[in-house]
Amino acid sequence: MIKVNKNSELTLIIPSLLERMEKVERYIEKIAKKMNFSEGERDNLAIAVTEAVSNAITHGNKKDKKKKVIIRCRLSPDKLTVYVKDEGKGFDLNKITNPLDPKNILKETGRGIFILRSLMDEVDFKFSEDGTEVKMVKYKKILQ
Amino acid sequence: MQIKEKIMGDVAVLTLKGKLMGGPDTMTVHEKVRSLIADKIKKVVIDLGGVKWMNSSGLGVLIACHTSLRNANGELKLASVTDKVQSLFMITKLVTIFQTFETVDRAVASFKS
Repeated sequence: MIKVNKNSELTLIIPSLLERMEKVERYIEKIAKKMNFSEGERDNLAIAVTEAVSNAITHGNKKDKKKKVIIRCRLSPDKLTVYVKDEGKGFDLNKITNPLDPKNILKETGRGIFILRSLMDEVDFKFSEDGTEVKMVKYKKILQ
Repeated sequence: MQIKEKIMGDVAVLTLKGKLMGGPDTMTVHEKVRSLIADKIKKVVIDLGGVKWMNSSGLGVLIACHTSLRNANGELKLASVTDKVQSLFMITKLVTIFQTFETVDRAVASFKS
């Protein structure tokens, strides 16, 4: 049972196994549904969070199943903030290539962060000694 | 994620059901296409009607299928693309790469025209 109170916080910790992606999807879908996000917004949240978790497992933790990915959700009346943290060494945001550049368009990778930024209202990265954390915020739309 | 394969003449139709979000099953789509190429089937339709959404891993796999087929002088066509996936094609400009059709039948027929 998920209670949506002011400053509610929920945490899911998974090993670095891509097999756990469906569990992550179900987790975020359940929270977003409880918060009454629309179906389109729930899909965007699920795409963005699975994107961030996939990056954390593959690039951050290099698929080392001993390393954990922590998915922390802060539920507020007006927004959902999701933090995805890995145990990796981080990366240089300035070295991320533009996936829309014609010379990159046929690359199989390199769209993850672009998609995060396209689907979420706010995206921030925090790099530290003990890992990389991406913070993603989705605001609830106010119905007129 | 489930994959069903149907051969219609010299065209293979792969029907996907589920979400392409980077799990181990995502890569099986590309493995399936490579196995079709090895069997000399180079006209492939991927039916995405059962794929509500995908993330960049799914997009990457579709590009891998497109590239493998093109390198083998074959062709990939996509059918029944859902709204969310179409919007991802738009924002990533992959709409300029993939040929999409409203139905599988139209995609299959397009190989003959």
